[in-house]
Amino acid sequence: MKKRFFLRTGILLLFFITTWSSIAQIKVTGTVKDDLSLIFGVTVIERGTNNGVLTDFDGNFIITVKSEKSVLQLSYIGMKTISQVVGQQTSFNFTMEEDAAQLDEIVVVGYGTQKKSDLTGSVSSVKTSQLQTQSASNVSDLLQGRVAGLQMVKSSDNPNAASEVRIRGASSLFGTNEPLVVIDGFPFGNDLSGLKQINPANIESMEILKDASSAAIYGSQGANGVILITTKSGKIGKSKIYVRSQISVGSFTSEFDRWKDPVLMAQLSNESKVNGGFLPLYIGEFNQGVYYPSIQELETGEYPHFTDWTDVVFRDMRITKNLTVGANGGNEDSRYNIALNYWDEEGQYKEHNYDRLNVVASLNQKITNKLSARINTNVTFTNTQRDNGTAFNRNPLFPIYNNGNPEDGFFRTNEMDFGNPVERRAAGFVDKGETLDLILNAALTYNITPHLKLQSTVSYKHGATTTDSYTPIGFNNSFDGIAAIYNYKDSSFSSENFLTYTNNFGKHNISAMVGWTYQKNTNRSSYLEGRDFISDALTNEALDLSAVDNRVIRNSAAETGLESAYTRWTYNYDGKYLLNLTARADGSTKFGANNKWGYFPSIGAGWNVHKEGFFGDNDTWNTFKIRTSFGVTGNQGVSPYQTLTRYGSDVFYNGTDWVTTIGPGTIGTSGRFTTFVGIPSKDLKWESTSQFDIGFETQFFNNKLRFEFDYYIKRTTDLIRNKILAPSTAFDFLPVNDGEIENKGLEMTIEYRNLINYGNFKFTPLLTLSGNKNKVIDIGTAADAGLIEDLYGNIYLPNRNNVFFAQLANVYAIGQPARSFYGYRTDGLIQNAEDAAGHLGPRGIIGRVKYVDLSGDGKIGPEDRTIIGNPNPDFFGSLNLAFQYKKWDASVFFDGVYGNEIFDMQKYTRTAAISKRWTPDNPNNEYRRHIDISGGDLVSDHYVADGSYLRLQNISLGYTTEIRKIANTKLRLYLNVDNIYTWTKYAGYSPEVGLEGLDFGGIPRTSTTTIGLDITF
Amino acid sequence: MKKIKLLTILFLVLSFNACTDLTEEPIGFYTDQNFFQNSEESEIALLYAYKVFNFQEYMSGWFDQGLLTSDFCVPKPGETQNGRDVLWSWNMDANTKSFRDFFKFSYIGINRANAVIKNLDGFDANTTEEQIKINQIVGEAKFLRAWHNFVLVRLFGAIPQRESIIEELNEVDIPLTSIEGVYSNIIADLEASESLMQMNKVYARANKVTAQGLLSKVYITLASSKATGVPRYEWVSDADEMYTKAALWSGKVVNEQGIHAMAETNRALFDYDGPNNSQDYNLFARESEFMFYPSQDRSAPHYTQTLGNLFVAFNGYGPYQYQELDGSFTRGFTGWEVYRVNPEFYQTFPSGDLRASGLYTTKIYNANGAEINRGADPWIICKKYIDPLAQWGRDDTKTIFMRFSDIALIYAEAQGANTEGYTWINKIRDRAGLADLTPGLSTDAFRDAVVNERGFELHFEGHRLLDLRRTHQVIEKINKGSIPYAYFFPLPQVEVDLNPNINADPEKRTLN
Repeated sequence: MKKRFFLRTGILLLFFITTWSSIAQIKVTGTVKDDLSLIFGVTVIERGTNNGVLTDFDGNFIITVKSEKSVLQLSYIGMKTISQVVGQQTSFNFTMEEDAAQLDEIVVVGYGTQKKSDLTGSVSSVKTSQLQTQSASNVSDLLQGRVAGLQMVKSSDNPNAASEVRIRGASSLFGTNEPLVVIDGFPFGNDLSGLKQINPANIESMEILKDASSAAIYGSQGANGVILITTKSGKIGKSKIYVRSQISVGSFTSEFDRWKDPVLMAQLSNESKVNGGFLPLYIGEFNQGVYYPSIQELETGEYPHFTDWTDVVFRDMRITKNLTVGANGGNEDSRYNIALNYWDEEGQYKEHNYDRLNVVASLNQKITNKLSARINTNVTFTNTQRDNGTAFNRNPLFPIYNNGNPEDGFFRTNEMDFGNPVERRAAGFVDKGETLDLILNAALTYNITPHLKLQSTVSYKHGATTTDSYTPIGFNNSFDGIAAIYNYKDSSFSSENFLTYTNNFGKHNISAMVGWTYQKNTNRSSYLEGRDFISDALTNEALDLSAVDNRVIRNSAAETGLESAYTRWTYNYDGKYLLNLTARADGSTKFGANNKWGYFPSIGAGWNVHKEGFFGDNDTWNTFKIRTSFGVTGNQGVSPYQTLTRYGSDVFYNGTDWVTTIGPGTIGTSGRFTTFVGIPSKDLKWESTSQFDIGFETQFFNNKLRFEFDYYIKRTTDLIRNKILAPSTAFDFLPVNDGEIENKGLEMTIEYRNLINYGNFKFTPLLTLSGNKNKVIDIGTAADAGLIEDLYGNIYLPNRNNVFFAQLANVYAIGQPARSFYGYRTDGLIQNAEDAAGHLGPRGIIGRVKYVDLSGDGKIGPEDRTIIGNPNPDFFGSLNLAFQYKKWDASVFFDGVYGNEIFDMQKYTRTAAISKRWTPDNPNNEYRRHIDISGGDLVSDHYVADGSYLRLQNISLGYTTEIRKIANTKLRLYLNVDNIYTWTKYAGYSPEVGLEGLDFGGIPRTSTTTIGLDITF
Repeated sequence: MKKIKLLTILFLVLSFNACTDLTEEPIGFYTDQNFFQNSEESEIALLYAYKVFNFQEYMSGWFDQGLLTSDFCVPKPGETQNGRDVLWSWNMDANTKSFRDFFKFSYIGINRANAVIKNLDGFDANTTEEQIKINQIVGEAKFLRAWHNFVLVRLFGAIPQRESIIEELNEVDIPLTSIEGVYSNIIADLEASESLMQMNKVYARANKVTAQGLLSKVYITLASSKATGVPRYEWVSDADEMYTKAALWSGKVVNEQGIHAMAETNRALFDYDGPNNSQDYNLFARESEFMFYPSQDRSAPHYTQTLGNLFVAFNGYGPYQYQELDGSFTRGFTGWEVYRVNPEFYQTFPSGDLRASGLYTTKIYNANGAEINRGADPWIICKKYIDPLAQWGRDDTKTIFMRFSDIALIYAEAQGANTEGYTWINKIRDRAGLADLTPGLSTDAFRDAVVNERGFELHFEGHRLLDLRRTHQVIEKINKGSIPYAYFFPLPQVEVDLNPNINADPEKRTLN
């Protein structure tokens, strides 16, 4: 409460002080042109104030400034900024020159904008013009390799799959690690899937805020970095209509790994069974109702059936259509941008389709000289038709139809085999979803005085999804048809108000911003399921016709709120010495009464050394800036209601009916291992990340060679983790703050603009390199975190991700990178009885994996395990080669990751590996014996593989031209291919398996060829 | 101009005053604030306490620790889940998963019972009817608390005792209570419970007779443990006094009530769908003999964790059939083959014993009545947990915590070699198609014979290890050499690690 009072008083004071400043007095006019013609849309401002105008269609402007001492500043994208003291003149003619340096580029930062040269933080801008040649339904897919420090992993090309993004490493164990997405100032949450609603063609700019100085202004949401997206608004000038169309064809980059030779498959299967002491399967007899042909029958062709299930289930070629049509224009008073986008994508599975209609309308309206408003709306309708869960790894010897004859009906191995994909497709499955997403944004800007500006934004986001599903009669063990409807609604409201004061006193330039935000999120869901229907005819459209006894009804809701106050103070002396201070206080409903508020300050400093006298003025070394920052951001990625007591429920049969029961303790996780939670964690609070960054940016050779370098250290403390409770408490976990993780790294960006500039041919390479080292420093005590200490000093916490025959593969070990692999060391395969020493029972069979007895106790057991691998990369980077020749442009883009390891669970599911197996005739030391044995292999380094790769990610070629005859029509035609080739040692479909480094199998990746045509007229 | 300036100030002031409240309100779930403590809601909370028995961790734990460890059972080869392999081979330690799970779920049961007892503490009923109802609820809650304590003390020895529910983190850790202290709590709870409860038989709920039965089990345990010199039961004052009390309480069950009785045949007891099974639970054999069992029904609205699966053979995913003694067939369902009858023990069944021939088999049949080949040396299947009408995740099979025949045999054991004792053991033997027990045995020999009979009668119901422990025969009968933890399992390591009141070194825990 006290805080609130001081804040209010402070703001009102500020307000009154500044209204004392005198009003503008001198009227200045002029024209602006470049080499060829007059330019409209040039920004002309009175430096140090918010007073500005734009040149009109004829390049003219009129501006009223304070005094003769006022400085006019003209800026336009791609042009060098001109500064001119007004002095005695009242009329000017300016000629603007092309600016290769782009030092004066304006960058969007949280709650405002800053000149790039004035920044003290580490901010990367993404040129969206380059990205718009690629075909992607979610803009996060386009970020791969574009920004140093940003690691993006896309492990699936499924239209509904999301990619994982990390900026400067992962800093939370149980909370979220996704960066904050802010769209037009509206904090969208730490969830990239929301970006699906934004049409990439509608993005004006994207900034990635990486360090504390830039991200701390977002306080509790900023610990993982921030992605700021600004959508297009109208531009002053003649109205333009634009059409962007793309057609893409996607196909698998590699063949499916499947058995093509049934004889080999059968032989290997028989060998495996016999090795395991079982009867072989392929002996020409029935087994549990299914006939398995003998090897001979397969060799002679007597057994005729062989089905390529991947051909049945997947599309060879997938077509995606993308069309955007829009109009953009306006004048000084009113600017608009409207666009309609239709996206239609075929998924890899034959039934899978995804299409989307997006409508965007934005209006910037000047209401009075001082008051202007902006309204944005973004509406998206999405329709997904899923694949009904068809499986493609059925035994190829099973036919689609009995006896291969459609009239004999579909083939099933037994009455409970529901997996025949063709049968499923012909049956009346329903598996689809519809979503309506809405973003509304209204902002009011009031220039109270030329130095003081008030901005007030109200935003609302709403998403509603309905998912329909139906399992037809004959496809379930217990019920004749299962129908369900799931409704999920999620909405967010936010109100932000901030005041910005800008002024300059001689060479001292200052700005101060202070503001306040309120956000509220609610979600609700309901689920209805009915079972046992008379027929499939109505699918899930009449749930009231299901059997009365077996209905399932569930609903849920949750609400969270966030209140914040923030401020930023910047100071620079003549653009040379820079200082930036931010502070934010966030209060969340999720935390207990004692800890609702968190405080997140930051400080940044910079020095534009090139502006110093001693630096000189030569063409070789143009700019040099050093910057450093330190600050604290937070993470509130925990579920709500942890500070309240939670009761649970169950149903009890009382002899005649099932009645509801309620009592203390609610289920935390269920399934194989049931856990109970429900004791309130009253002292739960924020995780906080403090980050130190130091970096420099420098340019050479007339600003053509640009070099940017950052070093950072991030420490996250008060990590939220589950504290394990003693079983006699009747509860399993309680979330507490106790843990520490560190991320350290380097980022480097090198760009040489026009390295080759010969005639009309230009070549610009751009290289980014990032390396991040992650270390778990502390995660609680051995007992209450479940930490285990092994014989080799490793203290670790198993990551509860069951892999590989119920063994855990990833652990959080103190002093090691997060999610390191933990298991046995191996030494090839067992070749003889001596090798088998210590391997008990069936583990000692010759040809199986040979484990190392690290503990030296003579047997292989849990004490022989240690850290065996690390899924985190040593470094990753990208290289973009851009070419230009007259009207043609081309680019070749590579990206790569080095040093990441993968736990390859699929090693022995691949046909190639099985074929190379150990046999007495082929006693190798790499591929183990093919053996059917219960228990399987242990988690060991035998399965750890190198996942480093270099990928030719994208090649594009484009041609831009103008058709002057038809009123300045601009045309661009382009061709683009992505995911062309990957150089890697990894044997799986793709080394991009996800940030935990576990290969859960899957399908080959997709390469897409896109042809696009953009017309603006 | 001025108007707009004014508006701005107004706007600023207004927006700053829209002070929002950051308190979190629960949506869609019950907490201690919105779940009222009236008598109806207390009964609902009592049912929540009964549900503990339905968890897989409790059901498996009951059998893993009471049956699998004994001479009755052999597990599926290669079965390592829950530490079943080390339990059977007696290589267990404080980290064996089964101990931790069973321990935890028993304490969940105690916590839920405590919630009911606490909420009804000092409750003023408006009418006599309501008072009776409240008494019944409190009685059942105390029974459940005593039940869990009794099971835990026989498995683990000295354990923490919880008298109230846990509501905050700082109420979490409590020290161990000695075995004597635990038994004293158990007896106090059961005596209170017995007097509070009515003698009405309600499906899956405890009643006065159940409490009497449990009391008799407590006393017989104390009696035989003292009499045979079981370690850490030295504090029991006088074995004979315990036998008398056991006879008193089991006598009430056997002679002084009319709601539970012996079933006519053994087969009928485990017939989940036969002519003896019906919705009228008051009349028919199974429900009449069963005195305490969890609620479980095949009409469950969703998939539940079932018991039957663990005992039967796997034959693909389809059903198969068993043959009855009269030649008819009963439908069976596939399972995980975990608990298998130890053939060595099976051979010791007396010849002609209907329990052996009617409730155990090695043969299964397909839909046409043809025998299915189970290989050269098929293991013996126990048929006590087969529901012919079972579906996936839905069946009627239940753990049988207490049944009339169990108490009848306790009565016989407590009485000793007198007329009453002989009458009842012979009733059990007669039902099994056996001749009367040799008359004129000494008290000790008679009691040994009764315990032996318990083995055959309650075979595969989870009582064996506890019977062996209380008669000091564990090492001898299990016959695996000198085994650790023969009489008391180690406290789960997690409990020792996380409870600062428990000394890490078992030697240093001074309580007996």
